[in-house]
Amino acid sequence: MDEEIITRVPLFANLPDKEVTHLATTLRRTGWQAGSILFREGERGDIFYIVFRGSVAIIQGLGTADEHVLVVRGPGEFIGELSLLSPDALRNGTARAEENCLLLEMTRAQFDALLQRNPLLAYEMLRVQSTRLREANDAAMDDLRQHNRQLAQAYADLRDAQARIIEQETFARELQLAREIQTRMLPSVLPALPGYDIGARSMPARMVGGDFYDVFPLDAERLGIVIGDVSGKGIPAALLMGLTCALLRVEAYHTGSPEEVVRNVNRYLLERSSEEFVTLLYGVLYGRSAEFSYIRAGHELPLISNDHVTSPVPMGHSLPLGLFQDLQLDSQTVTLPPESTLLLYTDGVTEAFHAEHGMFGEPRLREILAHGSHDSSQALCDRIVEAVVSFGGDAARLDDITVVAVRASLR
Amino acid sequence: MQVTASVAQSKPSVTILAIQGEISAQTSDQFETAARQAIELGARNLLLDLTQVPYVSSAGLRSIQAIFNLLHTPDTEADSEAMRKGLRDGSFKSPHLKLLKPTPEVAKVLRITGFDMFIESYRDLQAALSAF
Repeated sequence: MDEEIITRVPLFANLPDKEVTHLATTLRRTGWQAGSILFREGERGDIFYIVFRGSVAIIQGLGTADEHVLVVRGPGEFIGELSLLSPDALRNGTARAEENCLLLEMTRAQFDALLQRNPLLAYEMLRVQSTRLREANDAAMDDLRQHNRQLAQAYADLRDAQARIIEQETFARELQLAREIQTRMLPSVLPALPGYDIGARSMPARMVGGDFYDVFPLDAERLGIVIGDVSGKGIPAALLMGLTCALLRVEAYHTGSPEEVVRNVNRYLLERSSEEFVTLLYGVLYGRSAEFSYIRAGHELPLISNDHVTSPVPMGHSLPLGLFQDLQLDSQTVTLPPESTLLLYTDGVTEAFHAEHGMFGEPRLREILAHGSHDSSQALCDRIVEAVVSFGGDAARLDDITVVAVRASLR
Repeated sequence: MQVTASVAQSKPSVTILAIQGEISAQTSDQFETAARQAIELGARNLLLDLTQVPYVSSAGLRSIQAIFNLLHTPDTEADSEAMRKGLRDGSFKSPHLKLLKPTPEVAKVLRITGFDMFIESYRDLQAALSAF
Protein backbone atom coordinates (compact mmCIF):
# COMPACT_ATOMS: atom_id res chain seq x y z
CA MET A 1 0.00 0.00 0.00
CA ASP A 2 2.72 2.37 0.95
CA GLU A 3 4.65 1.35 -2.14
CA GLU A 4 1.73 2.37 -4.33
CA ILE A 5 1.58 5.77 -2.73
CA ILE A 6 5.31 6.23 -2.99
CA THR A 7 5.32 5.53 -6.72
CA ARG A 8 2.47 8.01 -7.15
CA VAL A 9 4.88 10.73 -6.11
CA PRO A 10 6.23 11.91 -9.47
CA LEU A 11 9.66 12.27 -7.93
CA PHE A 12 9.81 8.56 -7.12
CA ALA A 13 7.81 7.24 -10.08
CA ASN A 14 10.87 5.88 -11.85
CA LEU A 15 12.67 4.41 -8.85
CA PRO A 16 13.53 0.73 -9.06
CA ASP A 17 11.13 -1.54 -7.13
CA LYS A 18 13.82 -2.47 -4.61
CA GLU A 19 14.22 1.18 -3.71
CA VAL A 20 10.48 1.75 -3.37
CA THR A 21 10.18 -1.23 -1.01
CA HIS A 22 13.11 0.07 1.00
CA LEU A 23 11.44 3.46 1.34
CA ALA A 24 8.13 1.88 2.28
CA THR A 25 9.75 0.15 5.20
CA THR A 26 12.05 2.94 6.34
CA LEU A 27 9.86 6.05 5.99
CA ARG A 28 8.13 7.02 9.18
CA ARG A 29 4.31 7.14 9.13
CA THR A 30 2.76 9.95 11.15
CA GLY A 31 -0.88 10.75 11.86
CA TRP A 32 -2.15 14.36 12.07
CA GLN A 33 -5.45 15.66 13.36
CA ALA A 34 -7.43 18.14 11.31
CA GLY A 35 -6.20 21.66 12.02
CA SER A 36 -2.80 20.66 13.32
CA ILE A 37 0.27 22.47 12.03
CA LEU A 38 3.06 20.47 10.38
CA PHE A 39 5.46 23.40 10.16
CA ARG A 40 5.31 27.20 10.12
CA GLU A 41 6.22 29.78 7.52
CA GLY A 42 9.76 31.09 8.02
CA GLU A 43 11.00 28.12 10.01
CA ARG A 44 14.02 26.05 9.02
CA GLY A 45 12.92 22.57 8.07
CA ASP A 46 14.50 19.31 7.14
CA ILE A 47 11.54 16.98 6.78
CA PHE A 48 9.82 16.16 3.50
CA TYR A 49 6.26 14.81 3.63
CA ILE A 50 4.31 12.58 1.33
CA VAL A 51 0.56 12.68 1.81
CA PHE A 52 -0.74 9.12 2.20
CA ARG A 53 -4.26 9.98 3.27
CA GLY A 54 -6.08 13.32 3.79
CA SER A 55 -5.09 16.80 2.64
CA VAL A 56 -2.69 19.48 3.76
CA ALA A 57 -2.97 23.20 2.96
CA ILE A 58 0.02 25.49 2.49
CA ILE A 59 -0.96 28.90 3.82
CA GLN A 60 0.88 32.17 3.56
CA GLY A 61 0.40 35.02 6.00
CA LEU A 62 -1.56 32.86 8.46
CA GLY A 63 -3.33 35.05 11.01
CA THR A 64 -2.77 38.31 9.11
CA ALA A 65 -5.01 40.33 6.78
CA ASP A 66 -3.13 38.86 3.82
CA GLU A 67 -3.73 35.24 4.80
CA HIS A 68 -4.34 33.08 1.78
CA VAL A 69 -4.05 29.41 0.81
CA LEU A 70 -1.29 28.82 -1.72
CA VAL A 71 -2.20 25.24 -2.49
CA VAL A 72 -3.79 22.11 -1.02
CA ARG A 73 -1.93 18.80 -1.39
CA GLY A 74 -3.75 15.45 -1.41
CA PRO A 75 -2.80 11.73 -1.47
CA GLY A 76 0.26 11.08 -3.58
CA GLU A 77 1.43 14.68 -3.42
CA PHE A 78 4.31 15.98 -1.36
CA ILE A 79 5.23 18.95 0.77
CA GLY A 80 8.35 20.64 2.02
CA GLU A 81 10.66 19.53 -0.73
CA LEU A 82 12.60 22.81 -0.71
CA SER A 83 14.19 21.92 2.58
CA LEU A 84 15.54 18.77 1.01
CA LEU A 85 17.40 20.71 -1.63
CA SER A 86 18.83 23.35 0.60
CA PRO A 87 19.55 23.22 4.32
CA ASP A 88 19.16 26.97 4.62
CA ALA A 89 15.81 27.15 2.91
CA LEU A 90 13.06 28.49 5.12
CA ARG A 91 9.56 27.13 4.89
CA ASN A 92 7.67 29.41 2.41
CA GLY A 93 4.31 28.73 3.99
CA THR A 94 2.59 27.16 6.99
CA ALA A 95 1.43 23.57 6.45
CA ARG A 96 -1.89 22.77 8.12
CA ALA A 97 -3.77 19.49 8.00
CA GLU A 98 -7.20 20.24 6.54
CA GLU A 99 -8.56 16.89 7.70
CA ASN A 100 -7.22 13.91 9.64
CA CYS A 101 -4.11 12.88 7.71
CA LEU A 102 -1.62 10.10 7.38
CA LEU A 103 1.77 11.24 6.15
CA LEU A 104 5.06 9.58 5.27
CA GLU A 105 8.07 11.51 6.47
CA MET A 106 11.49 11.58 4.94
CA THR A 107 14.39 13.34 6.62
CA ARG A 108 17.13 15.11 4.72
CA ALA A 109 19.55 12.44 5.80
CA GLN A 110 17.29 9.79 4.33
CA PHE A 111 16.95 11.75 1.12
CA ASP A 112 20.68 12.34 0.79
CA ALA A 113 21.21 8.59 1.09
CA LEU A 114 18.48 7.98 -1.53
CA LEU A 115 20.11 10.50 -3.86
CA GLN A 116 23.48 8.85 -3.52
CA ARG A 117 21.91 5.53 -4.48
CA ASN A 118 19.90 7.14 -7.33
CA PRO A 119 21.76 10.16 -8.72
CA LEU A 120 19.20 10.71 -11.57
CA LEU A 121 16.70 11.70 -8.92
CA ALA A 122 18.42 15.07 -8.85
CA TYR A 123 17.01 15.88 -12.28
CA GLU A 124 13.51 15.04 -11.10
CA MET A 125 13.99 17.33 -8.16
CA LEU A 126 15.06 20.19 -10.41
CA ARG A 127 12.08 19.70 -12.68
CA VAL A 128 9.70 19.67 -9.75
CA GLN A 129 11.41 22.76 -8.34
CA SER A 130 11.00 24.84 -11.44
CA THR A 131 7.31 23.90 -11.56
CA ARG A 132 6.95 24.93 -7.95
CA LEU A 133 8.74 28.23 -8.55
CA ARG A 134 6.55 29.00 -11.52
CA GLU A 135 3.41 28.26 -9.48
CA ALA A 136 4.59 30.56 -6.71
CA ASN A 137 5.43 33.27 -9.17
CA ASP A 138 2.01 33.06 -10.82
CA ALA A 139 0.31 33.25 -7.46
CA ALA A 140 2.35 36.32 -6.55
CA MET A 141 1.53 37.94 -9.87
CA ASP A 142 -2.22 37.27 -9.41
CA ASP A 143 -1.99 38.76 -5.98
CA LEU A 144 -0.29 41.86 -7.31
CA ARG A 145 -2.82 42.22 -10.11
CA GLN A 146 -5.69 42.05 -7.65
CA HIS A 147 -4.13 44.65 -5.41
CA ASN A 148 -3.62 46.88 -8.42
CA ARG A 149 -7.27 46.51 -9.38
CA GLN A 150 -8.34 47.42 -5.86
CA LEU A 151 -6.10 50.46 -5.87
CA ALA A 152 -7.40 51.57 -9.25
CA GLN A 153 -10.98 51.24 -8.01
CA ALA A 154 -10.22 53.18 -4.85
CA TYR A 155 -8.61 55.90 -6.93
CA ALA A 156 -11.64 56.06 -9.25
CA ASP A 157 -13.99 56.25 -6.26
CA LEU A 158 -11.95 59.05 -4.75
CA ARG A 159 -11.96 60.96 -8.02
CA ASP A 160 -15.75 60.59 -8.28
CA ALA A 161 -16.24 61.78 -4.72
CA GLN A 162 -14.01 64.75 -5.39
CA ALA A 163 -15.94 65.58 -8.58
CA ARG A 164 -19.18 65.48 -6.63
CA ILE A 165 -17.82 67.78 -3.95
CA ILE A 166 -16.64 70.26 -6.58
CA GLU A 167 -20.06 70.08 -8.26
CA GLN A 168 -21.82 70.76 -4.98
CA GLU A 169 -19.51 73.65 -4.17
CA THR A 170 -20.07 75.10 -7.63
CA PHE A 171 -23.80 74.77 -7.20
CA ALA A 172 -23.68 76.35 -3.76
CA ARG A 173 -21.63 79.25 -5.15
CA GLU A 174 -24.03 79.73 -8.04
CA LEU A 175 -26.98 79.65 -5.69
CA GLN A 176 -25.30 82.29 -3.55
CA LEU A 177 -24.74 84.43 -6.66
CA ALA A 178 -28.38 83.92 -7.69
CA ARG A 179 -29.46 85.06 -4.24
CA GLU A 180 -27.34 88.21 -4.55
CA ILE A 181 -28.77 88.96 -7.98
CA GLN A 182 -32.29 88.42 -6.75
CA THR A 183 -31.72 90.66 -3.74
CA ARG A 184 -30.54 93.41 -6.10
CA MET A 185 -33.70 93.02 -8.17
CA LEU A 186 -35.70 94.30 -5.24
CA PRO A 187 -35.14 97.97 -4.48
CA SER A 188 -33.25 98.31 -1.21
CA VAL A 189 -33.44 102.10 -1.27
CA LEU A 190 -37.06 103.03 -1.68
CA PRO A 191 -38.08 106.18 -3.53
CA ALA A 192 -39.37 108.98 -1.37
CA LEU A 193 -42.76 110.62 -1.66
CA PRO A 194 -43.24 113.70 0.47
CA GLY A 195 -45.57 112.97 3.34
CA TYR A 196 -45.06 109.21 3.30
CA ASP A 197 -42.70 106.80 5.01
CA ILE A 198 -42.22 103.59 3.07
CA GLY A 199 -40.54 100.40 4.15
CA ALA A 200 -40.19 96.89 2.75
CA ARG A 201 -38.53 93.57 3.59
CA SER A 202 -38.38 90.26 1.78
CA MET A 203 -36.87 87.00 2.98
CA PRO A 204 -36.85 83.89 0.79
CA ALA A 205 -37.45 80.54 2.47
CA ARG A 206 -34.48 79.03 0.62
CA MET A 207 -31.51 80.72 -1.04
CA VAL A 208 -33.82 82.15 -3.70
CA GLY A 209 -37.59 82.58 -3.64
CA GLY A 210 -40.76 83.50 -5.48
CA ASP A 211 -41.86 86.60 -3.54
CA PHE A 212 -41.23 90.10 -4.76
CA TYR A 213 -42.08 93.74 -4.10
CA ASP A 214 -41.40 96.92 -6.00
CA VAL A 215 -41.78 100.64 -5.35
CA PHE A 216 -41.13 103.10 -8.15
CA PRO A 217 -42.05 106.71 -8.94
CA LEU A 218 -44.41 107.14 -11.86
CA ASP A 219 -44.07 110.88 -11.67
CA ALA A 220 -43.48 113.58 -9.02
CA GLU A 221 -46.81 112.88 -7.35
CA ARG A 222 -47.43 109.19 -7.81
CA LEU A 223 -45.77 106.02 -6.65
CA GLY A 224 -46.27 102.55 -8.06
CA ILE A 225 -46.31 99.86 -5.34
CA VAL A 226 -46.29 96.14 -6.04
CA ILE A 227 -46.27 92.96 -4.01
CA GLY A 228 -46.29 89.51 -5.60
CA ASP A 229 -45.96 85.82 -4.83
CA VAL A 230 -45.12 83.10 -7.34
CA SER A 231 -46.58 79.74 -6.26
CA GLY A 232 -43.86 77.39 -5.12
CA LYS A 233 -40.40 78.03 -3.70
CA GLY A 234 -36.75 77.86 -4.70
CA ILE A 235 -35.28 78.12 -8.18
CA PRO A 236 -38.41 77.57 -10.33
CA ALA A 237 -40.32 80.24 -8.42
CA ALA A 238 -37.30 82.57 -8.47
CA LEU A 239 -37.00 82.49 -12.24
CA LEU A 240 -40.65 83.38 -12.71
CA MET A 241 -40.35 86.05 -10.01
CA GLY A 242 -37.61 87.82 -11.94
CA LEU A 243 -39.67 87.78 -15.10
CA THR A 244 -42.88 89.01 -13.50
CA CYS A 245 -41.14 91.72 -11.51
CA ALA A 246 -39.45 93.12 -14.60
CA LEU A 247 -42.54 92.80 -16.81
CA LEU A 248 -44.68 94.65 -14.34
CA ARG A 249 -42.38 97.61 -13.94
CA VAL A 250 -41.91 98.02 -17.68
CA GLU A 251 -45.67 97.82 -18.25
CA ALA A 252 -46.29 100.30 -15.45
CA TYR A 253 -44.06 102.89 -17.11
CA HIS A 254 -45.72 102.51 -20.50
CA THR A 255 -49.32 101.60 -19.87
CA GLY A 256 -52.14 103.70 -18.52
CA SER A 257 -54.24 102.00 -15.92
CA PRO A 258 -53.16 99.43 -13.30
CA GLU A 259 -55.81 97.10 -14.70
CA GLU A 260 -54.29 97.19 -18.18
CA VAL A 261 -50.83 96.71 -16.68
CA VAL A 262 -51.87 93.59 -14.83
CA ARG A 263 -53.80 92.13 -17.79
CA ASN A 264 -50.76 92.65 -20.03
CA VAL A 265 -48.48 90.93 -17.56
CA ASN A 266 -50.94 88.04 -17.37
CA ARG A 267 -50.85 87.67 -21.17
CA TYR A 268 -47.05 87.54 -21.21
CA LEU A 269 -46.98 85.00 -18.40
CA LEU A 270 -49.43 82.76 -20.26
CA GLU A 271 -47.13 82.83 -23.28
CA ARG A 272 -44.37 81.40 -21.12
CA SER A 273 -46.64 78.53 -20.23
CA SER A 274 -45.63 77.16 -16.89
CA GLU A 275 -47.27 75.25 -14.12
CA GLU A 276 -46.96 78.16 -11.70
CA PHE A 277 -49.34 81.01 -11.05
CA VAL A 278 -48.62 84.43 -9.52
CA THR A 279 -50.72 86.33 -6.99
CA LEU A 280 -50.18 90.04 -7.21
CA LEU A 281 -51.26 93.41 -5.92
CA TYR A 282 -50.31 96.48 -7.91
CA GLY A 283 -51.45 99.93 -6.92
CA VAL A 284 -50.76 103.60 -7.47
CA LEU A 285 -50.42 105.87 -4.45
CA TYR A 286 -51.47 109.45 -5.17
CA GLY A 287 -49.35 111.66 -2.92
CA ARG A 288 -51.68 114.62 -2.66
CA SER A 289 -54.96 112.84 -2.03
CA ALA A 290 -53.55 109.82 -0.12
CA GLU A 291 -55.58 107.60 -2.40
CA PHE A 292 -54.31 104.15 -3.17
CA SER A 293 -55.88 102.68 -6.33
CA TYR A 294 -54.98 99.07 -6.69
CA ILE A 295 -55.62 95.88 -8.62
CA ARG A 296 -55.61 92.66 -6.63
CA ALA A 297 -55.10 89.35 -8.45
CA GLY A 298 -55.66 86.50 -6.01
CA HIS A 299 -53.38 88.15 -3.46
CA GLU A 300 -53.86 88.70 0.28
CA LEU A 301 -56.03 91.72 1.11
CA PRO A 302 -54.09 94.80 2.21
CA LEU A 303 -54.46 95.91 5.83
CA ILE A 304 -54.99 99.51 6.87
CA SER A 305 -54.19 100.25 10.46
CA ASN A 306 -55.28 103.51 12.01
CA ASP A 307 -55.07 104.38 15.70
CA HIS A 308 -54.54 100.75 16.74
CA VAL A 309 -57.55 99.61 14.74
CA THR A 310 -57.26 97.63 11.54
CA SER A 311 -60.06 98.30 9.14
CA PRO A 312 -61.08 95.87 6.42
CA VAL A 313 -60.83 96.82 2.78
CA PRO A 314 -63.62 96.01 0.34
CA MET A 315 -63.14 92.79 -1.55
CA GLY A 316 -64.07 91.84 -5.07
CA HIS A 317 -63.48 88.62 -6.95
CA SER A 318 -60.13 88.01 -8.60
CA LEU A 319 -57.89 85.26 -9.90
CA PRO A 320 -54.10 84.93 -9.84
CA LEU A 321 -52.08 85.53 -12.99
CA GLY A 322 -50.89 82.72 -15.21
CA LEU A 323 -54.02 80.58 -15.09
CA PHE A 324 -56.48 81.88 -17.64
CA GLN A 325 -56.39 84.33 -20.49
CA ASP A 326 -59.57 85.97 -19.27
CA LEU A 327 -59.23 87.30 -15.82
CA GLN A 328 -61.42 88.75 -13.15
CA LEU A 329 -59.54 91.37 -11.19
CA ASP A 330 -60.39 93.06 -7.91
CA SER A 331 -60.15 96.81 -8.46
CA GLN A 332 -60.41 99.13 -5.43
CA THR A 333 -59.51 102.60 -4.27
CA VAL A 334 -58.90 103.29 -0.60
CA THR A 335 -57.91 106.51 1.10
CA LEU A 336 -55.21 106.42 3.75
CA PRO A 337 -56.20 108.48 6.79
CA PRO A 338 -53.42 110.63 8.34
CA GLU A 339 -51.06 108.59 10.55
CA SER A 340 -52.44 105.38 9.17
CA THR A 341 -50.34 102.50 7.89
CA LEU A 342 -51.06 100.46 4.78
CA LEU A 343 -49.58 96.97 4.97
CA LEU A 344 -49.11 94.60 2.06
CA TYR A 345 -47.88 91.09 2.77
CA THR A 346 -47.53 87.62 1.28
CA ASP A 347 -49.06 84.42 2.65
CA GLY A 348 -45.69 83.30 3.99
CA VAL A 349 -46.39 85.71 6.88
CA THR A 350 -49.81 84.50 7.96
CA GLU A 351 -49.31 80.86 7.03
CA ALA A 352 -46.03 80.35 8.90
CA PHE A 353 -46.61 77.26 10.96
CA HIS A 354 -45.55 76.04 14.37
CA ALA A 355 -46.29 72.47 15.43
CA GLU A 356 -47.76 73.57 18.76
CA HIS A 357 -49.02 77.11 18.17
CA GLY A 358 -50.51 76.46 14.75
CA MET A 359 -50.44 79.25 12.18
CA PHE A 360 -49.03 82.74 12.71
CA GLY A 361 -52.34 84.05 11.34
CA GLU A 362 -53.82 87.46 10.68
CA PRO A 363 -54.64 88.28 14.34
CA ARG A 364 -50.93 88.18 15.30
CA LEU A 365 -50.08 90.35 12.31
CA ARG A 366 -52.76 92.89 13.19
CA GLU A 367 -51.43 93.04 16.73
CA ILE A 368 -47.91 93.87 15.59
CA LEU A 369 -49.37 96.47 13.27
CA ALA A 370 -51.48 98.00 16.05
CA HIS A 371 -48.45 98.31 18.35
CA GLY A 372 -46.16 99.64 15.67
CA SER A 373 -47.63 103.12 15.24
CA HIS A 374 -44.49 104.85 16.52
CA ASP A 375 -42.03 102.87 14.46
CA SER A 376 -40.72 103.81 11.08
CA SER A 377 -42.21 101.74 8.29
CA GLN A 378 -38.91 99.95 7.77
CA ALA A 379 -38.64 99.08 11.47
CA LEU A 380 -42.20 97.77 11.34
CA CYS A 381 -41.42 95.56 8.36
CA ASP A 382 -38.29 94.24 10.03
CA ARG A 383 -40.19 93.50 13.21
CA ILE A 384 -42.90 91.56 11.37
CA VAL A 385 -40.35 89.44 9.49
CA GLU A 386 -38.40 88.70 12.69
CA ALA A 387 -41.62 87.78 14.52
CA VAL A 388 -42.55 85.31 11.78
CA VAL A 389 -39.08 83.78 11.66
CA SER A 390 -38.90 83.29 15.43
CA PHE A 391 -42.47 81.95 15.49
CA GLY A 392 -41.96 79.37 12.81
CA GLY A 393 -40.63 76.36 14.70
CA ASP A 394 -41.25 74.08 11.73
CA ALA A 395 -38.54 75.22 9.37
CA ALA A 396 -39.84 73.00 6.61
CA ARG A 397 -43.06 74.94 6.47
CA LEU A 398 -41.49 78.40 6.34
CA ASP A 399 -42.45 80.04 3.03
CA ASP A 400 -41.03 83.20 1.40
CA ILE A 401 -41.94 86.22 3.58
CA THR A 402 -42.51 89.71 2.21
CA VAL A 403 -44.00 92.89 3.69
CA VAL A 404 -44.41 96.45 2.38
CA ALA A 405 -45.56 99.21 4.72
CA VAL A 406 -46.67 102.73 3.77
CA ARG A 407 -47.28 105.29 6.48
CA ALA A 408 -49.12 108.49 5.75
CA SER A 409 -47.99 111.46 7.84
CA LEU A 410 -50.14 114.10 9.44
CA ARG A 411 -51.60 116.51 6.90
CA MET B 1 -51.35 62.56 3.93
CA GLN B 2 -53.74 59.94 2.58
CA VAL B 3 -56.04 59.92 -0.39
CA THR B 4 -58.88 57.40 -0.68
CA ALA B 5 -60.83 57.06 -3.90
CA SER B 6 -64.38 55.77 -4.20
CA VAL B 7 -67.00 55.90 -6.92
CA ALA B 8 -70.41 57.26 -5.97
CA GLN B 9 -73.59 55.59 -7.19
CA SER B 10 -74.87 58.60 -9.06
CA LYS B 11 -75.63 59.83 -12.53
CA PRO B 12 -73.36 60.99 -13.96
CA SER B 13 -70.70 58.86 -12.27
CA VAL B 14 -68.56 60.80 -9.78
CA THR B 15 -65.27 59.70 -8.22
CA ILE B 16 -64.86 60.97 -4.69
CA LEU B 17 -61.31 61.59 -3.44
CA ALA B 18 -61.27 61.76 0.36
CA ILE B 19 -58.10 63.54 1.47
CA GLN B 20 -56.68 63.35 5.00
CA GLY B 21 -54.04 65.92 5.90
CA GLU B 22 -52.79 69.18 4.46
CA ILE B 23 -52.17 69.73 0.76
CA SER B 24 -48.87 71.61 0.74
CA ALA B 25 -45.50 71.51 -0.98
CA GLN B 26 -44.59 68.18 0.65
CA THR B 27 -47.87 66.42 -0.10
CA SER B 28 -49.26 68.02 -3.27
CA ASP B 29 -47.43 65.53 -5.54
CA GLN B 30 -49.04 62.62 -3.74
CA PHE B 31 -52.47 64.20 -4.07
CA GLU B 32 -51.98 65.03 -7.75
CA THR B 33 -50.82 61.48 -8.51
CA ALA B 34 -53.92 60.01 -6.88
CA ALA B 35 -56.17 62.31 -8.91
CA ARG B 36 -54.32 61.53 -12.15
CA GLN B 37 -54.67 57.81 -11.45
CA ALA B 38 -58.43 58.20 -10.97
CA ILE B 39 -58.67 60.08 -14.27
CA GLU B 40 -56.60 57.42 -16.04
CA LEU B 41 -59.01 54.82 -14.72
CA GLY B 42 -61.80 56.72 -16.43
CA ALA B 43 -63.03 59.30 -13.94
CA ARG B 44 -64.55 62.32 -15.71
CA ASN B 45 -66.01 63.95 -12.62
CA LEU B 46 -64.10 64.45 -9.40
CA LEU B 47 -65.37 65.51 -5.99
CA LEU B 48 -62.60 66.44 -3.56
CA ASP B 49 -63.68 65.74 0.01
CA LEU B 50 -61.79 68.33 2.04
CA THR B 51 -63.46 67.59 5.38
CA GLN B 52 -60.14 66.47 6.84
CA VAL B 53 -57.87 68.96 5.11
CA PRO B 54 -56.76 71.65 7.57
CA TYR B 55 -54.67 73.65 5.10
CA VAL B 56 -54.05 74.12 1.37
CA SER B 57 -50.95 76.05 0.29
CA SER B 58 -50.24 77.65 -3.08
CA ALA B 59 -48.57 74.35 -4.09
CA GLY B 60 -51.87 72.65 -3.25
CA LEU B 61 -53.77 75.16 -5.38
CA ARG B 62 -51.36 74.48 -8.22
CA SER B 63 -52.22 70.77 -8.00
CA ILE B 64 -55.93 71.56 -7.97
CA GLN B 65 -55.36 73.74 -11.04
CA ALA B 66 -53.48 70.90 -12.78
CA ILE B 67 -56.38 68.53 -12.11
CA PHE B 68 -58.86 71.13 -13.35
CA ASN B 69 -56.88 71.36 -16.60
CA LEU B 70 -56.89 67.57 -16.99
CA LEU B 71 -60.67 67.44 -16.59
CA HIS B 72 -61.26 70.43 -18.83
CA THR B 73 -59.80 69.86 -22.23
CA PRO B 74 -62.34 71.77 -24.36
CA ASP B 75 -63.13 69.45 -27.24
CA THR B 76 -64.54 72.05 -29.53
CA GLU B 77 -63.83 75.66 -30.25
CA ALA B 78 -67.34 76.45 -29.02
CA ASP B 79 -66.60 74.89 -25.60
CA SER B 80 -63.38 76.83 -25.32
CA GLU B 81 -65.11 80.13 -26.15
CA ALA B 82 -67.96 79.42 -23.75
CA MET B 83 -65.52 78.71 -20.93
CA ARG B 84 -63.57 81.89 -21.68
CA LYS B 85 -66.73 83.97 -21.67
CA GLY B 86 -67.83 82.37 -18.44
CA LEU B 87 -64.48 83.02 -16.81
CA ARG B 88 -64.61 86.63 -17.99
CA ASP B 89 -67.94 87.35 -16.39
CA GLY B 90 -67.51 85.03 -13.46
CA SER B 91 -70.37 82.74 -14.49
CA PHE B 92 -68.26 79.71 -15.35
CA LYS B 93 -68.38 76.95 -12.74
CA SER B 94 -66.49 73.77 -13.41
CA PRO B 95 -68.91 70.96 -14.23
CA HIS B 96 -66.26 68.29 -13.63
CA LEU B 97 -64.46 69.34 -10.44
CA LYS B 98 -66.16 70.22 -7.17
CA LEU B 99 -65.21 70.49 -3.50
CA LEU B 100 -66.90 69.06 -0.44
CA LYS B 101 -66.87 70.70 3.00
CA PRO B 102 -63.73 72.85 2.88
CA THR B 103 -62.75 74.04 6.37
CA PRO B 104 -63.08 77.78 7.11
CA GLU B 105 -59.31 78.22 6.66
CA VAL B 106 -59.32 76.51 3.28
CA ALA B 107 -62.52 78.31 2.22
CA LYS B 108 -60.80 81.60 2.98
CA VAL B 109 -57.81 80.70 0.79
CA LEU B 110 -60.19 79.71 -2.01
CA ARG B 111 -61.96 83.06 -1.69
CA ILE B 112 -58.84 85.25 -1.60
CA THR B 113 -57.26 83.50 -4.59
CA GLY B 114 -60.54 83.41 -6.46
CA PHE B 115 -60.51 79.64 -6.91
CA ASP B 116 -64.03 79.64 -5.48
CA MET B 117 -65.15 81.49 -8.60
CA PHE B 118 -64.71 78.60 -10.98
CA ILE B 119 -64.69 75.61 -8.59
CA GLU B 120 -67.82 75.28 -6.44
CA SER B 121 -67.91 74.02 -2.86
CA TYR B 122 -70.73 72.18 -1.13
CA ARG B 123 -71.52 71.52 2.53
CA ASP B 124 -73.50 68.36 1.79
CA LEU B 125 -72.54 65.21 -0.10
CA GLN B 126 -75.92 64.72 -1.83
CA ALA B 127 -76.07 68.33 -2.92
CA ALA B 128 -72.55 68.02 -4.32
CA LEU B 129 -73.32 64.83 -6.24
CA SER B 130 -76.53 66.21 -7.73
CA ALA B 131 -74.69 69.32 -8.90
CA PHE B 132 -72.60 67.34 -11.43
